[in-house]
Amino acid sequence: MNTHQRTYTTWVVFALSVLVLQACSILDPMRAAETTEQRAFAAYGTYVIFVERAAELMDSPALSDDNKLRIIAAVETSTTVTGELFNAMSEYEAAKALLDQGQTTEERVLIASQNLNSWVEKAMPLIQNLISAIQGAT
Amino acid sequence: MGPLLIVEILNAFATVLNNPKINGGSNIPLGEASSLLGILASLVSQGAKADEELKLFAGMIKEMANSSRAPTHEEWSALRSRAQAAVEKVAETKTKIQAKKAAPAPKIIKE
Repeated sequence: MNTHQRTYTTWVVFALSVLVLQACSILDPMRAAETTEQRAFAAYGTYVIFVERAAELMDSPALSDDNKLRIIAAVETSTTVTGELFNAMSEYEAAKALLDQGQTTEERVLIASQNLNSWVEKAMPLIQNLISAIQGAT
Repeated sequence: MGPLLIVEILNAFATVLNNPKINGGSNIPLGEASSLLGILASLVSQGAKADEELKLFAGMIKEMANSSRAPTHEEWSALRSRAQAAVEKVAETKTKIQAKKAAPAPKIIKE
């Protein structure tokens, strides 16, 4: 390996290391959240940030069609579950509004909150999978 | 060293490799190396963009937690719209790739 090749390889390894280091900060929004609503919002927002990156990568000439299809599959599975998360959030908001009007019980709000929390738990591994698919492809 | 600085360095390195006046003894064609570094820089740039967005978003969540505030309906709707736009673009790409794969391979005419 000559000097040019060594320099080139060093830069490639260095750049890939940066991408790996960036992956370490992924969970920051989730760590900052305290309530179920904040956790749900943090999970959904993290999904949005990476689904937008996935959409940008669709224009990248650096990625093969097979790599793009792997990212697309990860987008599809995470989108299904985050869609349910969004619906659970809407139900939770509706239950809280009804409680404020005295038209439902605290138990119903609690059930909606538990349902929302379960969708956050289901969504997180799929969001992580989406992030891995994007970073693996790049 | 921040990711944006790394992007700048990679871009600068790609520009240098693209200079025909310095065609040295490398086995990697200069044009190819330059192109690869350009692509690498753009990918690192996208990673940096996601990283910056995550930091800003984490700051927003932290502010919510500190003020015991729940995300508003408008904030949820804004995220929903962004997700839908991105998912639509991904779906369009899937359709294009599937159409490309389904298309018959061009015939090779032998003389």
